[in-house]
Amino acid sequence: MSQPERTDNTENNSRSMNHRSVMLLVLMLLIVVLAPMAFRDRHIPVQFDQSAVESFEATDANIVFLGNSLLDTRIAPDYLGELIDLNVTSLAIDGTAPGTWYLQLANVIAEATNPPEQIYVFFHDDLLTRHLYFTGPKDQRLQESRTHSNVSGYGVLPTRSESVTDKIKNFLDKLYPIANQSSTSRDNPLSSIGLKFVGMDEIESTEASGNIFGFANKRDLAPTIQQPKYHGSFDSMVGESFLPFLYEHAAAIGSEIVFVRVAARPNDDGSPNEPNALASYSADLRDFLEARNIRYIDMTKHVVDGAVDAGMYYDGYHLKHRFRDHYTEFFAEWMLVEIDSDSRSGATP
Amino acid sequence: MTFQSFEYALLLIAVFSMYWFLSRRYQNILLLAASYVFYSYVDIRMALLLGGYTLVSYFAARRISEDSDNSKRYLIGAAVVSLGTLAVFKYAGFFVESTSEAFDTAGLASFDSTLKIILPIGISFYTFQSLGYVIDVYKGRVDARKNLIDTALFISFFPQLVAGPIERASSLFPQLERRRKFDADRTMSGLSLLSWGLFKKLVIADNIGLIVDNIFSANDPGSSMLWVGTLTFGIQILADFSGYTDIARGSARLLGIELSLNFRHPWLASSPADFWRRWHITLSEWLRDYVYIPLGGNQKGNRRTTINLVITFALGGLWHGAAWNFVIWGLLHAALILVWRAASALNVRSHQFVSIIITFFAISAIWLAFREGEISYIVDNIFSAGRENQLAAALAITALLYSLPIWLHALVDRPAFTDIWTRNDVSKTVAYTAITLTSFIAILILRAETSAEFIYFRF
Repeated sequence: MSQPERTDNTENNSRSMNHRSVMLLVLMLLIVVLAPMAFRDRHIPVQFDQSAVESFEATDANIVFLGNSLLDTRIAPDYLGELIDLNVTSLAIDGTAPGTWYLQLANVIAEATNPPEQIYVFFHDDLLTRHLYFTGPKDQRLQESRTHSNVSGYGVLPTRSESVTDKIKNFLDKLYPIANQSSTSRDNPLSSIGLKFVGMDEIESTEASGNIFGFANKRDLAPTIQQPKYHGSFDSMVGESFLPFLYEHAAAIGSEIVFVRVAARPNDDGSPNEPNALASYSADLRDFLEARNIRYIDMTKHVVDGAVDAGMYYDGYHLKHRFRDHYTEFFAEWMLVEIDSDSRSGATP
Repeated sequence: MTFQSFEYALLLIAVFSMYWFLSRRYQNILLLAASYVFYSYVDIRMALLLGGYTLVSYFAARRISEDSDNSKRYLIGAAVVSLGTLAVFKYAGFFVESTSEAFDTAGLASFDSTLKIILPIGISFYTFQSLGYVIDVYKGRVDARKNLIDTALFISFFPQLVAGPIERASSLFPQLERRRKFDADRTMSGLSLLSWGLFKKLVIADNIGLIVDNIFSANDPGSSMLWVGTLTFGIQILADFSGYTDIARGSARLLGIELSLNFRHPWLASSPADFWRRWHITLSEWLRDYVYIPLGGNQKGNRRTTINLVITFALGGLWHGAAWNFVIWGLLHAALILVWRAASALNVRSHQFVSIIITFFAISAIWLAFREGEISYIVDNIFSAGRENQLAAALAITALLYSLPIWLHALVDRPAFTDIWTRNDVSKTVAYTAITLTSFIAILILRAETSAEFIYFRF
């Protein structure tokens, strides 16, 4: 009789142990999930930067360039201005995408009393039709400084539809606001403690970093980094992109907008590094813009011409600094020929 | 699909939610389906290759078991197919390029050396795992499995598919052949291991990776900076790979499966041989059992032992990547072990702490050959004058600060400490919660701006 009783007790103990373990697991999950929410958002939105409008106005630019570091490594605005005898300015900001360029167009260029005659938008691959949120949290403060939603007449970012994954990510970002608080400093490999240990201040470290890690001392890593990216057919992307907003806004202020697609670093044999899907994307984009009488330049063709070769690149997309003026001259030549032409599409420098 | 991606979290949660309500058979079918979704996420053709490996291993093992007269033929056939496939995908380009260069150097006609073949992710890992199973069946260490689903899952189990641990049939099959029951303790342990792995990857490896990438992308970093890059790469790769392994083991543990230990605090190694008993343990043991010992190991005299060691390490280096720098890296490890053996034979002794420090710096220096494929770049910079030494020191200290949690873990991961927190279920819960919560908050605050792919994914 005693044996079955012991078994019952053992089973009961085991069951209560299991029950207790499950309760502890639930408690653990609750603490892990809820505790980080307590770190509330201390983020104060950046006010709209009116000085950006004033600075732009002061340039009295005839021609404006919009883009990211790809533009910055290709076009020297002052030099281009000298070559074509016009006021040229570049609003290039590293790491940006069409959403930010739209804000620059709508809230800075359009707000100036003297809108430019032409706006050139430089992009690579299919970036022109990607969504703003692709640019990631790095741009959050930048976006805020270019957005003034409290004042009517200033453009704000249109709400785009998002994938389920992005919706969940955004939801989690709101749930755990600390996740975005220190994002601006995350791309700096140096810690302030490390600097203090060796007695360096921030200015010294920036200068020393520039000497070693700066643009001029970069190795050619093109084969291993940055390859052409493709995210879907043009038709599937354009409806959810900022492209229509860009050309509609440019038309509204009476500026001509020109889209320039830069080439990825050519293959070692000199052929364009352009997958078929991207070539097809470019053709569709050309047709789309041509139908709207908008000029489009696909610089991939220059790889075939030999005007741009692999040796000019320091990675998959960016040009070496010493070729910046060369590229600017090359672009100026084309502008001088084409700037007054009636050809509205498919132009080839 | 990578472990640090949102998609992986969704997959794991989905599998975990359904898994415990299923019978053993359906648990395995679910895991198999999840594994193929995981693997074919980027390119569905990869799944066909994985399926091919499964069929080869399954039928070879069955035939070896059923037809003992021809078992050797089936073993050789399976080895030729598996290693041949690996050779085509991983080494064909390297072979063609090296041959072309050799022809060119000899003044013979060179030929087009570009051969573009995509490298299926994780192919080196599942080639070794599946081949190990067939060899074990041939040697009579395990029985050939009749259940194709179990065999397919053994080769493709998603937590360890793309970067190990390289599992043995004797360890993984028995776990797959019984029904896994939910265990709250194991779930807590799995969660804490998984979050610790994510912390090592997203906070330590990715932040130190920024330093390493900056240094090795500089055209002229100078010798001091290059050494800092090399030392910090040693820290990065440990955090990256052991982080991956912890995520893999944590994920598997959540599903009631215990994967093999792959790292045992390699920084505490007191000799190069000891390092390989602590670093990538499952690969070391695979090479020992299937290459070094069959070659004769250390049983055929000193000269033969040396040759066997060199062959094993050269193959180990080549396993990592189809490039000469990996072969050199392997050979340097063999040389280091031989030097240590010679010193030991001459009765050169040092305090254990000194041995650990010497081993750490010797192993770290060898990482240079692993990280940098361009020999001329190493030669040009290693003997050049130091530049920006103060900055180099600041970067080294930054990397050390990031790596402190790993050092601390190495110090407290011993019975004197673990006995305290494993005393009862409350203390265990407190410890697991503390690890998971701290890792989670640290990831939220300190993660690097961009997360690089796991280094070992490319092998």
